[in-house]
This record gives sequence, C-alpha cells and structure tokens, in this order.
Amino acid sequence: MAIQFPPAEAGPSTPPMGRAPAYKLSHSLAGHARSVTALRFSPDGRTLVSAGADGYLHFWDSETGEHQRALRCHRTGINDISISPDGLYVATASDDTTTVIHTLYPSSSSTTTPSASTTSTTIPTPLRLLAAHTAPVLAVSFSPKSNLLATGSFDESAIVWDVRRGKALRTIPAHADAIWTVGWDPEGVMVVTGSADGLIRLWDANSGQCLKTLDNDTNSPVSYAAFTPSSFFLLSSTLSSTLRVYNIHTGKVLKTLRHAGYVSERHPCPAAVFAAPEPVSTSSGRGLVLDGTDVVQHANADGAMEGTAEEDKGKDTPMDVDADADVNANANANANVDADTDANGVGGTAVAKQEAWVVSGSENGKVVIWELGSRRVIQVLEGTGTEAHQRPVVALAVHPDGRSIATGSLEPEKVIHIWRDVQT
Amino acid sequence: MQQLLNPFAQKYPDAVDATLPTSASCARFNPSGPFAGHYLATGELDGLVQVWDVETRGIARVLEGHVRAVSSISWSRNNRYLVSSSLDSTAIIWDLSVLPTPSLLPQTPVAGPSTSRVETIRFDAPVASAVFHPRNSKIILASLTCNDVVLVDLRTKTKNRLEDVMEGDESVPKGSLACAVFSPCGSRIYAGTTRGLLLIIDPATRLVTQRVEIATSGIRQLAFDPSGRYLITSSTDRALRVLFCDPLGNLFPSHRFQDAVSRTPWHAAGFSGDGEYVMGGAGNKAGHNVYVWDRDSGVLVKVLEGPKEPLVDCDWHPTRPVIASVGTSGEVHIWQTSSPDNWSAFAPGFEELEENVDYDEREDEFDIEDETDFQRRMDAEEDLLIDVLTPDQSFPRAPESSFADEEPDDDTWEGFYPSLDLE
Repeated sequence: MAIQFPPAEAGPSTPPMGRAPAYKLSHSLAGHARSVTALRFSPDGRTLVSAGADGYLHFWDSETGEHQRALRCHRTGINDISISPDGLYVATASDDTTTVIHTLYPSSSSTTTPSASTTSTTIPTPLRLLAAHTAPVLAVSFSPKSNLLATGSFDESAIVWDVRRGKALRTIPAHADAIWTVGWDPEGVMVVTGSADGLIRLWDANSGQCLKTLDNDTNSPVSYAAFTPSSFFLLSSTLSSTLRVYNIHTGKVLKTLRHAGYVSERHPCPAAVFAAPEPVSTSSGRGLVLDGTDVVQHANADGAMEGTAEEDKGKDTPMDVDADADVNANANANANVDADTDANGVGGTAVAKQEAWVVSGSENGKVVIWELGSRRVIQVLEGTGTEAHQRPVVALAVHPDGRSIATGSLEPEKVIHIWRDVQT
Repeated sequence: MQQLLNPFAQKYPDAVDATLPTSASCARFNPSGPFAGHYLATGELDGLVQVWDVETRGIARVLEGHVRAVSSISWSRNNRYLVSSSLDSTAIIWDLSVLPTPSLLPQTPVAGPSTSRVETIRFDAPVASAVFHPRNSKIILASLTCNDVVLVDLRTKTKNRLEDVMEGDESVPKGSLACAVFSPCGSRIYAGTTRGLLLIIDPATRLVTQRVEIATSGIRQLAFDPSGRYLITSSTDRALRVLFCDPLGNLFPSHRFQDAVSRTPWHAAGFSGDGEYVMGGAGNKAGHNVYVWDRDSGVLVKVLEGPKEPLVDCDWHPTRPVIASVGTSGEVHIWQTSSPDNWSAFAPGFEELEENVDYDEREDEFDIEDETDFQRRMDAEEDLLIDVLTPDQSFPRAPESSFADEEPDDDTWEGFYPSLDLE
C-alpha cells in the first residue's frame, strides 16, 4: 500500500499564528502568444517582467497593470528570467541553449513606442549573449552583487558566468539529470542547483567545489530550490506536491508543506517565501509615488480629501487611505476600525516578529499560501470562470512588499494574474 | 557558508592564485559589509584608480582624475566611497554609486551627479596616504610626504595640521608626524613621529592624550587589526612591532619582528582579517616576499615567495585567507589556499574517514515504528520555530563613534556594491 499523505488539516498540530491574508484578483494581463513561463518583479517593485514560450519578454506596470513594452529575445521559448538585484539588467534562459542580457529599462537611444515594438519581429542585439550550454537552458539567476550569473541546463551542467566579460567563469558538472533550478545565497558565495535527479547541491561559487548535497525521502525530481532571506535555510519544491525547508548545515528537513489543493507532479512551479505584509491600512512601506496616484484617485472619488498624498503619509487621516479601492468592496466596511488603529500614526512599528508566508502554484490552477511557522494553508487563490487559472500555474513572483503576487499559466490560457492583499 | 567549509582548513594563503595585469602602486580590499573582500581597489602608477571584482578578476570600475601616481587608497564604511591620495598633492573622493552610463536607471534625477568624482582636496605637498574615518566618509586623515599629518573635516570644511601638542604643554614639538591612522573604533588617532614616538590624538580636540616611545628611529607605517586590539608599527630601523591596545588606549609591546641577517626593509604590514596572523611585506631587492607570523606566539608560519621584484604594498582579505600583494612592476598577485575536493559533499549522509571504524548499531535502529506514531513524531519535530526571514548580520562592520556620528554621511546602506556598466 502506498503511504497516503494525511489530509493537510490532520498534519500540523498548531493553529495559525498570524493573520490570514486576503489576496484578491486585481488585474489579468494578456500579452503572450504562448504559455507564460516566468515572472519577476523589479527590485524597486515598479515593473513586472513576464517571459513566455513565444520568446518574448513583456514589461508591465506592476501597480496599474499597464503594458509598457515588449521585447523579443529568442526565436524559441524562454524558460526562466532573472532581474539583477541592482535593477539594471534582465537575463533570460532559453530553449535555444543561450542566455541573453538586456537592460531592464530601455536606453534612451533605442526607445521605441510600445505598439511598434510589440509587432516587431526583429530580435534586438542583446548586451551580452552567453552561449556555452549544449541543451536548453532551464534556469537563470543573477548573483546578489549582479556581477555573476548562474545558469542550469538540460545538459546536466551549471555554468557560472562573468557578466561583464560575457564568458563562462566556471562550468560545474553538477547533476545526473536536467537542472531545473539555480540560485544564490544572500551573500553571493554559494550557488544552489536543483535537478530532476532528486538532489539539491550547494557549490562554492569561488572554487566550484561541492559543499553539500541534500536529498528528499522519495527521490522526487527537484523543481525549485532557493535560499530564504536567512542563509541558513533553503526552500525547495519537488514533483511530489511537496515543499520543504532544509537546514543547509545539517541537511535536515525542518518544515514539510503539503495540501490537498496543491498538486505539482508534472509541471515545475516556483515557490516563494516572504514576510507577511502589514495589513493594508497600516501600510507605510509602499512606494510613495505609486501610493500618491492611488490616493489622488480615491480623493477624487470621495470628493473631499485634504492635502496631497505626501502630506497624508504618517498623519492621522480620518479615512482609510486604501490604495486598493478599485478591487476592494468588502474592506471599506472596516474603514472605521482602520482609522482607530492608524490613529497613533506609527503604523506597524509596534508589531512583533513577522510571520513567513510561502506561496506556490498548483497544476489545478490554484495558488496556495502557507504560513510557514504553523505549516497551515492560510489562503488558496482560486475562483470560477476567468477569475482564476484553469491551467497549471508555472510562473510565480511576489512583489518586494509582499502585497502583490503575480501568477502565470500554461497554454491555452496564457494569462498573468496579479493578486493583491486587501486584508485590513 | 563558513560552517560548510572545513573548520581545520589553513587560515593563511600559500600560493599565487591569480595575477592582475595592471600597473598598481597600492591595493586594498573593501573591509566591511556583507560583501567584504569582494572588491579590490588599486591605485595605479599612471594616476588611475581601478576597482577589481575579486571573483571574476575583472575591472568593475575605472576612475580617472589623478595626474601622478596614486600612493594610497581607502574604502568608506559601507564601500560607497573611495579616497585616493596621489603624488600630485591631491586626494580625491569617488562615489561608486554613480554609473558611467546614467541612462541605465531612468528614474535617476537628471540633476543628479554625473561624475564619480565627489571632491578633490588639495594639499601643499605630495600625499603619502589618505584614509577615511571608519564611520564617516566626510572625515579624512592625510599624511603628506613632507612629514605632516592633516585632518580634513568636510562637514565643517576645515583642514587642520596635527601637531605633537599636549594640553597645557608649551614645549616645542619634538619631531614631526610621519604617519597616522584612525583606531577601528574611530575615537582616536594614532600617529607615529620621525623620532619614534607614538602619539594618541583625540580627533575632536586634536590634542595629544598620550605619548608612547616605541623605538628610537622614525615610524613609517601603522596598521590596526580589525578588532582594534592590536597595532603594528613599521620603523626605519627595519623592525615590525606588534602592540596590544587595551580598551582605554594604553599600549603594551607584544612582539618584535626583524630580519637580523639580511636587514629586510618592510614596505607593508598588517593583520589577517581575524587578527590571528601578522603580515609583513618585505621589500627585498631580490624578491617579493610576504612573511606571515602567528600573532599570539610570534612564530613565523609562512613565507610567501613571489616574483623577483620588490614588494610595494600588500593587504589581507577581511574574511578569507587571501592576500593581495603589489610588486614594483605594478602587477597585483592574489595569494590563496588550495583546498582539496570534499567528495563526501556529493552525497547526503556521507562522511570521509581517515581509517576504518567499527559501526555500532543503535539499540532502536531497526525497530519497527508505528506509522501514525512516526507521523506524529515528525509533525512534532516540524513544529520547531525557525526564523527564515532575518538575513545573516555577522559581516564585518565599523563600530559606532560619537565623534563621527554627530553628522553622519550618506554612506548608510550596508549592502552597497558598485553596479556593472555593460553598455
């Protein structure tokens, strides 16, 4: 008899520790001609970049969902993208065995109108073309200092590239099967690779030596592995519908996340761990400019709103400065409560340690959010009709402030959904 | 990553790993921040300042400004600024956050700085060295080749020549100041005189609080270990002296290193990143040697023998057993340890054994456990609280200093690194 996983509710014995999120569908973006394969938010949170099996990158305003530009990078599909942590460059991993690097923002000399570039079929010359793999490149990741790039390929090797020279610095024969995921530790001294051979390996980026190998009890193919913000832990997902958090020093699994609604058996989907954002009303960390536009809209709608957005910041405003008014019908009922909690004007400073949330996409179109501490599912993003994905979710990104999650799905749906936390 | 490396690995380098093809006269690793030691700044004989990426051995930034050879280079507390001193009698402060192609970041305001050169400080004589205050890039301590030491405070736009004057002491200064450094805590200046005295100076009042006689010959160079507990002096009598500094600033001699036979002149001196080893760069005519002593016992543990040219400068990496040394030809040599492959890392649960051992099976090793019990036990183990969100904070950083923090500079982001310009 095969071991049955216990129902999710029977697993963790502790109740959730923090608040529950309330992510709601905010925007649906359509632009790709084929499956959406990768999504990334820029480090400043302004731009969402999506990559597709059509070889295009699309750039979107992450707040309004407005399409900014399209960039054709490859004749074949793009499997993964990475934005450099300094926000200057974007790198792709493609089926044509190459990786290209472009600037994240169009340089002033080559600015074209969005409509013109969308329809163009020419492939602009990249800043760097990295070609050394012999099979499709499946994963790409910039180092924390943006000076190195790690790629993992179907040819079972991982390459660390010198970005400035555009040359391979070190080729690591890392695994015995395709490498589906690569990443860096927060200090930029270790590379993590995860492979279909069921192993996760850590490498010294400086010497190319193997430092550690982590396995899982079912030897399931590793579809995703990445360091958490703390460099002691690693988050991984395997094609056995399981997410795990490892201690990299002991190799022990510290947390196992499963759920009846989370299926990942055939299609790899990234996972992400992030700090639970403060409830929306006590928001103080949002981008000032973006907030400003929303507040102005809100003020116009209400007819009377004093001052500019900047003056409202941190001040005791009688109304909930709700940036998500457009998608938020229910939350307005709580506005009075928010005004009370906001009254001291020090939103969020007295709150204790933040909970860590983990999110991943499922083959049944659902997006599942766990609270890592209690291992409980705290929200499943699903819906009916066009409100949710019907096809496997294979692309996922979390906004730097944790308030937005972008998800993308396979053909024929090929849509990007942006979900916003409207919890107050 | 340190925990995954062999804890018994050698703590000092033993072979040249790479040579940077350049014409440098001085080299410094960035000493602090999460990316400490990832960059090496070199001052060139032709006046250029270059920032090298240690991982790729490539140039991350080239800074043009000096018209004669660069004599010293110093990193600001969070690596955003560099100060270079030159024989053209200037010191230049560089801002590494300015990109050569500013259009890469469209949201940069048009009025923002378009050049890396922030400030040029002119002096009356060629500058031998200029260092930032460990906490504030607006405070610079410069030693001139005419044996003057000048404290520049850009917050108040003042330049003050430091003198050997004690409070209430009217006597004529004896000897002039040849070199000076800030203590790593930034609250004291240590200056060496041409008569062999070590002066401890309060940077706020610029008065000498203590005079210690180290040697009878002039002091040429001073360097602290990162903790600020040990100081090394290099004197014209060709001896290196290591002194222990207690928290009150009192100094106690600990070791003296000298080559009695060939009377080697020391062109550079310093400590390892952990302060456990003392490094002396020998300026022999015949060869380029870096001597490494154990700081505690004073035993010579390694002589790194380089090419046949005198050494002019060397620096120890802040966290790893890596040394950069500069020869008279200007080539920069990077010394590292070679670590053997750890094959047991390739499989989980493997361990390399020196010899065969008998395996003792645990009492319960093959006991059959009830599946639900097992599940419950695993669940209980996984209830452990872990903090996955707090980044590692154990990187080297400058301590707080009341003198410098009154008016802090804008170099506040600890994670700063110079971006690449690929255009």
